[in-house]
Amino acid sequence: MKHLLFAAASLLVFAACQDNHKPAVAKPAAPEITIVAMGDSLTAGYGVPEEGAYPAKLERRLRAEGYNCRVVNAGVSGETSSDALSRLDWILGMKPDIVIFESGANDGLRGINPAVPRENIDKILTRLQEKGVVTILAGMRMVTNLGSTYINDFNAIYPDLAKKHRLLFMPFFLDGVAAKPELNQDDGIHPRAAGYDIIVENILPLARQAIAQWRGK
Amino acid sequence: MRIPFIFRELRASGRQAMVLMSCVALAVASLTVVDSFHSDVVRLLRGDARALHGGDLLIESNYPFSAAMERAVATLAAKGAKVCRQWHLYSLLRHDDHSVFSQLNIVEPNYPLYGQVELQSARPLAEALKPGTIIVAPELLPRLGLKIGDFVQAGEVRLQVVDCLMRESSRPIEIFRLGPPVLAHAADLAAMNLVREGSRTQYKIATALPQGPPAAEDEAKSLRAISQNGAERVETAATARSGVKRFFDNLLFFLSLTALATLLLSGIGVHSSATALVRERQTAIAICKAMGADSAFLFRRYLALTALVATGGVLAGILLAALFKPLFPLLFPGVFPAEHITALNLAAAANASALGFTAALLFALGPLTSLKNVRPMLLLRRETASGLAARAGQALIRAAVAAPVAILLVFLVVRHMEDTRTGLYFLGGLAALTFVAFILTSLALTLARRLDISPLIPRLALRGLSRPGNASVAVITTLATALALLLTMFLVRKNLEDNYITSFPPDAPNVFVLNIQKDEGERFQQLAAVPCRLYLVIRGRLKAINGKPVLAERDGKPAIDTLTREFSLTYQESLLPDEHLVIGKSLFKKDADGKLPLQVSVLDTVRDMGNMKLGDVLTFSIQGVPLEAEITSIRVRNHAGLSPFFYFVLPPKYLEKAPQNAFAAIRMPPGQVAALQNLLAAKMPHLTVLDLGPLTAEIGRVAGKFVRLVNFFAALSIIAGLFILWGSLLASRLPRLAEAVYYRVMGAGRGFIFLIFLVENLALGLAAALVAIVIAQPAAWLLCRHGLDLSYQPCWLASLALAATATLLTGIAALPGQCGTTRSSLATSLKEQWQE
Repeated sequence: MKHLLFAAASLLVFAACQDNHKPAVAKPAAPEITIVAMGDSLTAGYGVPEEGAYPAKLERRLRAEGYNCRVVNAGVSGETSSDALSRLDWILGMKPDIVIFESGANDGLRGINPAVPRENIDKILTRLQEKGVVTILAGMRMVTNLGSTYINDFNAIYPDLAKKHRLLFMPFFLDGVAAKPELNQDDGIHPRAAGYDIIVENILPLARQAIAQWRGK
Repeated sequence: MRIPFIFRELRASGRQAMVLMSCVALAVASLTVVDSFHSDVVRLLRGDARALHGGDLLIESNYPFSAAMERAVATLAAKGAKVCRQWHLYSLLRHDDHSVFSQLNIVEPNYPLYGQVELQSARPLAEALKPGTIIVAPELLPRLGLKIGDFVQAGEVRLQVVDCLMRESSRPIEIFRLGPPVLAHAADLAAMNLVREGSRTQYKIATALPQGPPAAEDEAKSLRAISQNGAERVETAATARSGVKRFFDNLLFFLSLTALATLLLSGIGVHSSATALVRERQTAIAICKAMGADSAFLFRRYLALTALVATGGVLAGILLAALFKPLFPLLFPGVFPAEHITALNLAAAANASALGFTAALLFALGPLTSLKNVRPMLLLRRETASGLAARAGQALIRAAVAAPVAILLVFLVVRHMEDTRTGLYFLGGLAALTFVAFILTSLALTLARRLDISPLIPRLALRGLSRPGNASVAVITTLATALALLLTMFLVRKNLEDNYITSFPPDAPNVFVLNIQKDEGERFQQLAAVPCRLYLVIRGRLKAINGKPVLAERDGKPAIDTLTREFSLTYQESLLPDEHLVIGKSLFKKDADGKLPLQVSVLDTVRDMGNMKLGDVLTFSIQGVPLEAEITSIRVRNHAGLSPFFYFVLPPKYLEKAPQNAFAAIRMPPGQVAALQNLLAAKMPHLTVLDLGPLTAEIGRVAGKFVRLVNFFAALSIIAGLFILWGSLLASRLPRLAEAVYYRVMGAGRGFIFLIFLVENLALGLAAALVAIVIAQPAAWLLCRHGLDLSYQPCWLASLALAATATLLTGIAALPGQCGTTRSSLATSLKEQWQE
C-alpha cells in the first residue's frame, strides 16, 4: 500500500502568486495558533524526512516571521477523499484554528468517479466551516492521461467548492513544482525538499491571510 | 613390484576403498550436473532476461526523453540497433456508460523486440494490432460490456477491440496493478491525446543491439553518462532486476552451495575412510616397516593408492553424471524445455573432476601422514595408530604437505562460485564451522566425563566416549560438521520454499479491496457475498524509541524504508493466523487490576530495524496526535507471502477512535473477480480492487516447478552424510573390538555389551546432532538474510527431528558392526583382536 501513487502532476504552470504583502508580526504574548495540515502523501512528505515536508517548513517560516504557531503534519500517504472524510473527527479533536486541506489526488490517480471526491470534499469543508475552522483549500489538477472528460470534471471540483464555501484558495498545490525533474523524486510525482520550499513560498501568503482571518474572528 | 603392492592393499582394504570411491563419485557427479545445469540455466536466463525486459538495453523515464538521449538513441539506430518505443500509462477506457481504469501500453509495430505476446486468437501481435485497433485483457470485456469487434473510447479516439491479451513475456509482474492491461498501436498515440504535457506516463525505449547482450553494458555506460538528472534510467536486460531473475539467482546459488556442500561432505567421508584404511592396515604397515620400508616409501604408496581410488571415483562420478543429465527432462518435467538441456558440459566435468580429486587428496592427507606414527613395535604392543598423538613437528609436516593442495582447492572452489568474495566467505565459513564443531565437541565430552550417572550401562557408555583410541572428538566433530552442513542446507532450502512457494498457497487471498471505511464493513461484506476478513488500518509515524528520536535519514538516502516512514498500525486482541510470538508470553500483558494498559506488540522485522527490545517505549504520532506505548511482545510471521501483516499492534481501546479504514483479503474464483469489480464500481465507487490472481498464478507456475529439483540436490548431500557415518564407524571399529574383548574377559554377557555400545553410539549421534543444531541455525540465518536476502524461519521442530533421526541412524548404522563384535565367542574375539 505504501507505494501506491499519491499525487497529481501537471505542466499547466501557473505564475507563482506574487505577494508583496508584508508579514504581520504577531505579538510575542499571543496564544499559540494550531494549524493542521491535512492531506495525502504530498502533505505527509512521502520519501522525505518529516522535517523536509511542507508543514514543518511552513511552521519554521511562520515562527521566523514572529507568529506563535504550530503546524501539525496530519498527512496520510495514500489517502483518498473518502479516507479524509472518515477521519475528520480526529482532526477536529485537535481543536485546529486553521486547516490547510489538500486531498483528492489519489481518487484521481485511481480513476474514481470525480463525483465521489467532490461530494466528500464538500462534506469536509462544510464540517470545518460549521466548527468555525479557518480553511485553506489546496487545489489539485489531474494528470492529462486520464482523458479530457475526466480531468475537466475533476479539475472543476476545487474552484467550484472554494467559491461555494468562500475559502482561501490555492488553485494548484504543486504550482511551480509539478513536472520538474529537479524538484521531484524519481517517481516524478512526489516533491523533494527543494520542491517543498516552493510549495511553502506559495502557501505562505494564504497562511498569513488565514491567521489574520482567525484573529479577526 | 610397486603396483602389485598397491593392488594388494586395495584388495585388503576393500570396504574403506569402496567408501572413499563412492564419496568422490558422489561429489564429482553432483558438481558436474550442477555446473552443467548452471550453464544451461545461464543460457536460458540470458534469453529469458531479454524476453522479460523486451530488449538488450532499456531506457525509461517519467518525463519525455531529453534531446541528448534522443540523439544517442538515433546514433544507436544508425549503427544497426532495433529500437522500440513504448508508453505506459493508466487511463479510462469507456464504452456506453461504463468506464474502466486500465493500464495502457502503447507500442510501436516491432513490439516486442524479444519474447512473445500471446493472444486469444493465437495470431502474431503484428498481425492483430493495427492502427485504429486495441487488444484488451479478457477481464475487461465483461466489465465494459464489450465483445470482440466493438469500439471503445481511449482518450479522444475510438478503437476497435480486435483480440484478447493472454500473456506478455515482457510485462513485469506487478503486485499493485490498478487496472487490466491493454495494448494499443503507436500510430494512435497522437489521436488519443493522452500523452502530452501534464500526463503521467512512463516513457520507455527498448533496443536490440546487433552485437547482442555483450555490448549492452558498454552502451549503457555511455547512455548513463548523458542521462538527465537521474530521471532517465538506463538498464541492460542482465542488470534489470525482476522477481523471476532473483528467484533463478537464488536457486543457482543454492544449488552451487549444495554441490559444494556435497563435495565437502564427501571430503569428510574420504577423511573417515582413509583413517579407517590406515587403522585397518596398521599391522601390515608395521610389518613393512619392520622389513625396512621407511615412512616416506609407505606414504607414497598409500598416496598413490588413494589417488587410484579417487580416480576411480572421478570416473564413476562422470559416468553417473553422463547417465543422469540426459534423463533431466524426464526426471523434472516442465522445469526446462528439453531443448535447453544440453549434453554433459566437458568444462563442467573437468572442473568437477579437478575439485573432487583435489578434495580427496587433501582430506586423505591427514590420515596418510599418520602412517609415520605406526612403528614396528606395534606388532608386539597392542596399541592402535589413533592412540599415537601427532607431535608438533609432525603436525607441521602435515600442514606443509597439505598447504599446496589446500590452496589449489581454495582456488577451485572460488572459481566454482564465480565470485572470489563469496567463495572465500564460503570456505572461511566452513573452516569456522569445523573449528566451532571441534570446540563444542570437546566441551561436550568434558561435560560427559564429569556427569555423575548411576545406571551402569549409560555410565559405561559415556565413559566409553572418552576411551583412549576411540577418537570420539574426531568422530563427533566429523559427524557434527557433516550434520551442520546438512541442516544448514535443509534450513536454507526450507526458507527458500517458504519465501517463494508455500507463501503462495492455493487458498491465499487473490483479491484485495482497499479503502473500506469504518462504517462500511457490513455493507461491503453483504455486497461481496464471499467470506472475507476485514483488516483495520491506522496510519501513523514512529517518532521516538525510549525518548530518542528515530533518525530521519540513513546513509544520506531518502527515508522510505526506514523507521521514519509512515506505518500501518492496527488494533486487535489476538495474533493473526500466520503469526506467533517469539518474545513475550502473550500479545499484551494485563496490569494488577486485570486491565490492558497502553502497550504495543511489534513484528520482528521492525524490531530489527530499530534494535527494539521488550520494555522499550515507542512514541507514535497518530496523524498528529502523540501516543506512547511499551513493547510487551514480539511477533514473527510464519511465512512471507501476500497475507496481511502489521508491524505494530495495539490493544483495541486505545486506537478504536483513531482514524481508520479497512482492507479486505478475499479468495475467490478468478472468473468472478470482474463481476465483483463491476458491482463495487457501481455501488461503492471509492473502493479500489487489486486483483492479485495473475501474480500468484505466475509465481506459483515458476516456483512450483523447482521443488523437486532442489530436493534432489539436497538428497545428494544426505547420501554423502550417510557415507560419512559409515566411514566414521569403520574408523572406530578397532577400539570397540578391543573394548568388547575386555568386557567379555570380565564376564559381561553379549546383551550387556550390545547395550553399552548402542547407548554409546546413540550418545555420539546425539552429541553430534546437538552441536550441528547450534552451528547450523546461525549459519543458515546468515545465508538466508545476508546471502539470499530472504526472511528466515528457524524451523526448530525440523531441527529437532533431524537431531532425533541422526541419533537413531547413528545407532542403527552401528548395529551390524556391533552384532559382529558382540556375537562372536570370546576366543574368536581374542583371535580377531590379535589379528587386527
